[in-house]
Amino acid sequence: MVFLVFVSTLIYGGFAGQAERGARKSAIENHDRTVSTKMSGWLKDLRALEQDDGSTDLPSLTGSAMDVIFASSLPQEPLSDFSIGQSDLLPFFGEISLKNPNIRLFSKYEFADPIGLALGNFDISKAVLLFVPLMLIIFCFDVTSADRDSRRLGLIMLQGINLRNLFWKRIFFRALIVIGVTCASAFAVMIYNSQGLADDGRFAIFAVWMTFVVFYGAFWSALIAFVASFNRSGEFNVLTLLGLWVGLTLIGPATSSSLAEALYPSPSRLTYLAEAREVENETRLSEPDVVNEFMLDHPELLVDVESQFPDYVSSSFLVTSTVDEATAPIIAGFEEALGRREELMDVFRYLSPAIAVHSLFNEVTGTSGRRHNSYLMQARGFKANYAKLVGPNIIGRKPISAEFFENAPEFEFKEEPLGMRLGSGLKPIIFLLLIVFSLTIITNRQLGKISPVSS
Amino acid sequence: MNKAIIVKEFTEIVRDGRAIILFGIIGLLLLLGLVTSFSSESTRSQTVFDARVADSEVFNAQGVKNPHSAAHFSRMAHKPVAPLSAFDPGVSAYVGQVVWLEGHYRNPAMFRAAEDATELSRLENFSLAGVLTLIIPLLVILLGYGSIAKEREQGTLRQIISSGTSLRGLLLGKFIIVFSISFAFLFFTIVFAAVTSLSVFEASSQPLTDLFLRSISLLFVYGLYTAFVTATTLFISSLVQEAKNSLLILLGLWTVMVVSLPRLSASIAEQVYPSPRSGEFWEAMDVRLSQNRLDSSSAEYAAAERAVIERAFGKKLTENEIENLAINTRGVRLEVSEVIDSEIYTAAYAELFENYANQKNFRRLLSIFSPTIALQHLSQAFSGTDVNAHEHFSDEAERQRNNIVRVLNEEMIINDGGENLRYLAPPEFWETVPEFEYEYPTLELAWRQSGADFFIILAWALFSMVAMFWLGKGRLEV
Amino acid sequence: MRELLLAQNLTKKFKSNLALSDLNLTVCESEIVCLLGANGAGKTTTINLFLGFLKPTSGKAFVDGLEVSENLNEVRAKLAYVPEQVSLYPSLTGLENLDYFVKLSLDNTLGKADLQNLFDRVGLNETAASKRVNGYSKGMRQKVGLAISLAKNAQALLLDEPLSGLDPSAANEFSTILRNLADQGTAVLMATHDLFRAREIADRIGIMKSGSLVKDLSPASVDQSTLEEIYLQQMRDTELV
Repeated sequence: MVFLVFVSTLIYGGFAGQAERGARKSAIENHDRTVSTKMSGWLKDLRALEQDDGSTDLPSLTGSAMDVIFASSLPQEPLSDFSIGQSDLLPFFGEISLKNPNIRLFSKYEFADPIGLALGNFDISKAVLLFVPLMLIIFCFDVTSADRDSRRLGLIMLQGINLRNLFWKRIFFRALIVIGVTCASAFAVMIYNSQGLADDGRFAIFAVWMTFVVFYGAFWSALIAFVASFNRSGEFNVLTLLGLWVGLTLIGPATSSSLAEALYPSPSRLTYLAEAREVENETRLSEPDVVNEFMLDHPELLVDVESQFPDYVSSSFLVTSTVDEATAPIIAGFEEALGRREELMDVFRYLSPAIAVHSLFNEVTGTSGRRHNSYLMQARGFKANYAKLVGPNIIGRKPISAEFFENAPEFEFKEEPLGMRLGSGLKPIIFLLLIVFSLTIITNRQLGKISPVSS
Repeated sequence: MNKAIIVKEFTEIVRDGRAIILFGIIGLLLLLGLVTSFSSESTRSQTVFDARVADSEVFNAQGVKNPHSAAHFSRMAHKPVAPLSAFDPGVSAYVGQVVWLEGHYRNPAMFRAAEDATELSRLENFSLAGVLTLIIPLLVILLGYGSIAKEREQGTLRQIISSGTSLRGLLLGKFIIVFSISFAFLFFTIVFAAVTSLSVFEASSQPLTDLFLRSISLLFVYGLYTAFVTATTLFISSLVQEAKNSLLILLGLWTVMVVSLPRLSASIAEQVYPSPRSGEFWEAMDVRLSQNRLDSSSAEYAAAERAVIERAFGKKLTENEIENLAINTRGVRLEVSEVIDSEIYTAAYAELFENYANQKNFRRLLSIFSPTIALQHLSQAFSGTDVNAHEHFSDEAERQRNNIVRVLNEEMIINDGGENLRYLAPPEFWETVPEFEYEYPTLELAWRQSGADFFIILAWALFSMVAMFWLGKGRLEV
Repeated sequence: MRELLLAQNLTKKFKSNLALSDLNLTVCESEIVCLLGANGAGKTTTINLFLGFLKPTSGKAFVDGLEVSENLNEVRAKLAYVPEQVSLYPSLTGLENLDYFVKLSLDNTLGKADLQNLFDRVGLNETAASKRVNGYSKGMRQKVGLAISLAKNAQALLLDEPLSGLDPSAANEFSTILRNLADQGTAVLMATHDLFRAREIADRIGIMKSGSLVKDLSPASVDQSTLEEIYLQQMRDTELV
């Protein structure tokens, strides 16, 4: 019954992850389609303008670089159905346009149920993190205490059995069942969710994910064996192991997270917004000075005084650029705070396998906060580069050409190799493996001291 | 007799080193929660205040400017700190902190604080409410799992029964001590959170009595929840032979009802009532807006124009008077489209919040398997940090947006007698635009929206007490 | 003489196992009745039926005229019980354990002096009484159990092999206390394996075999070796069956 519930939970997690991934994929496809449709229309008008075929009903802003929008999205990794991570909360697609300052680039968020977000998403990785240790505890806690509590231990030892062998065999066998069922369920989920997907390294990444699962199971098995080796009552074992589970899986992560946020708080978005609006207002009020400054920076620029482009187009561009420039230090502040928190979290990963493995699950499935923030940074960078390219056109009130547009680079997310993403997260794993090894040695020694007579 | 049971149980607990360690850990967690929440909420409260002041200053400093441009620059509506967010932050971090009251668009709230939080906070995040919901039941289980089972195991139960002790009295005594210890944690936590809230909360926007009543309501529902957990613990303990089995069963129930089902229920609710994707939402909005636009030559449109003009001049006007008025017709058209579009926005957001309500109702249904779900709803509602509170703020912000845009459009309508878009309002005009005076909804809204959750918790508490006293008692007599 | 404990055709069946068959037994005030028999003979079942821990399959058990199954609380108020393993709360002292059980059964408080007096009667000194019971020997636990029973001033005392595991000196002390209690009017029903003690203190000895009371003797009518022979004979017949 317990196994049935456990497997059902894993499978449901796989299903929920798949649904979320599917929704993200179709959101990205929809976004790409929408932008493509808009830009096709824009390009058609620009071509008509360039062909000068006498169409007099073209919009006045035809060919304005300000009206160009780029589709941007964070590609879905092959195994992103296995961990929702931060992908339900952080932006993963958005229009890049010079009309919006950076502060409003991704401000229209998804409308997922806030309570669902607050409680945390549910996927197969989350199920593994929370429930595999519990399953191991349920099935392994009484590996010797059952005999001890029933006063059979003396009888068993009198049969000339090697207690160490018996102990390790029992632990190994029981843990193998739990971890085996977990892996089998995950494999089934992986196969089922792979329908209709190209094999773009999904199996290989799944193997990596599975390795972390096995490591996680091994850690908890070693911990359970260690506690059981003290030959206390079953009740004692359950209480101790439950305390460890609550500490390492719930309290540890929550406390680490609170501590990191308290020590390295993010700058306030409201302050960022207030600053941006102040700069926007000041720029508008001193627009002629801003224009002059821009002209001084671009002496080659000639303004087309005959242009149909209204003044507000260049004003808008100047305001947006100035706001972005003025608020760049604040964004840098966010990134710095994030960096410092990540460094602190790197330390905490050594203290709890749940913290270490949680981050690895997110990295291997491409749903980590780091990857999302990298996407946001790249999107801002792409926008800045485009602004540099077309700024003179906008201030000069000149349209860009169709050829220019077609040759302009599209946004493409630069992916960090998986090895590098996992890199820093693997050191805590190695450390925790050493802990596993040490616990095993200590447990083995403890087993030699077991006596059926309780002290 | 009850007093003897209570004193004896208390003595045993105090002498149990593990219980003392557990009290220490819980106390430390609560203290940490209190300190961090006080720190973050007071910072946030100050930040919101400063942001509001800055926004007012920057809006008033626009100088000479066209009102329509100002309608795009507009104001920001900052969401104040909720009455008891220090206790239960609820969904505050996931719904945005500020709304841009831009002309033509009803924007969702921006800047969800959770986006700047650590990734790890998605695994587990302990607010004070989180500790009370997750860890206090664990405390109750650890104090009570052996209440009857251990007595049975060590043989003292026979002795007690043979002494002619009232079994209800025995159960009641054990219930009182376990419940009292847990309730003490609840009480001090909620009281300290309320006191903390007093110091960070802008008292002018919330009557003190409301804060007091919210705290009492929280104490009540958490008390019911704790009563349920205590009664269930004693019930299970009285059913099984061995204390170890009692512990395992209760921990299993805790894992399912407290840890798993709330998360699962949210996930399942999202599958049953999927939230709209932003792309779909805004596309559908654009379609509805364009479909709803009136033909400018229609009688309906003319009526709308008349209504706008009459409101701008503050009186009823005849056809003749309107014809002879020197008004900016562009301003009239802007305001008409604003009024018409506002209906669509209101309907669309109402549907969005109705979807959230459906998800909540579905979760509520699942609380027949876990009262923790109902408790979470109530806790957020009474703390003022649930989706309903956010909906209230969002609707009030929209009302303010309509107000601001109307004032700006009317400035154009009244003061410019032509199609001239280049009308520039004087610098002192911006100060006449009304400030957003937001009043947090009172407790009445919370009770109205979450009354069903209260009855669910009450039913669970009563059911478990009945189970404990009647069925458990029956088991003790065998 | 008032019959304080009365079993009328008392029968108890556990599924297919007939644990007690048609028992008719009386224990009057000031009387000590010892039940002897092999394991599974029905001695403990008899005691559990009087205590109301089991419901009879047929027949009735009475305590001072009150039918047990109909008047559980009233019956238990008249009875005191000392089991084979006296279970106490390990983290409490002997005094605290006694205080607790006294308050439960009497619903009022005895002062420390009264509690210590009870311990004195059973031979447990003040130092021992102030120690936590997780350090007590079996004999000390039995004494606490007996003190709990004495505190109740019950009309009838039921004991289930209270002397098992006690050294001769402790057993002797225990027996003396039981005799004194009986002399003061308490009816005592004791299940035991100890033939010697049974003959020493009992007014009547009941030998049970396979759920039935096969012999009801007066110890005065038999010497020790005869009693032993009768007992072993019954047991042998049990084996042959």
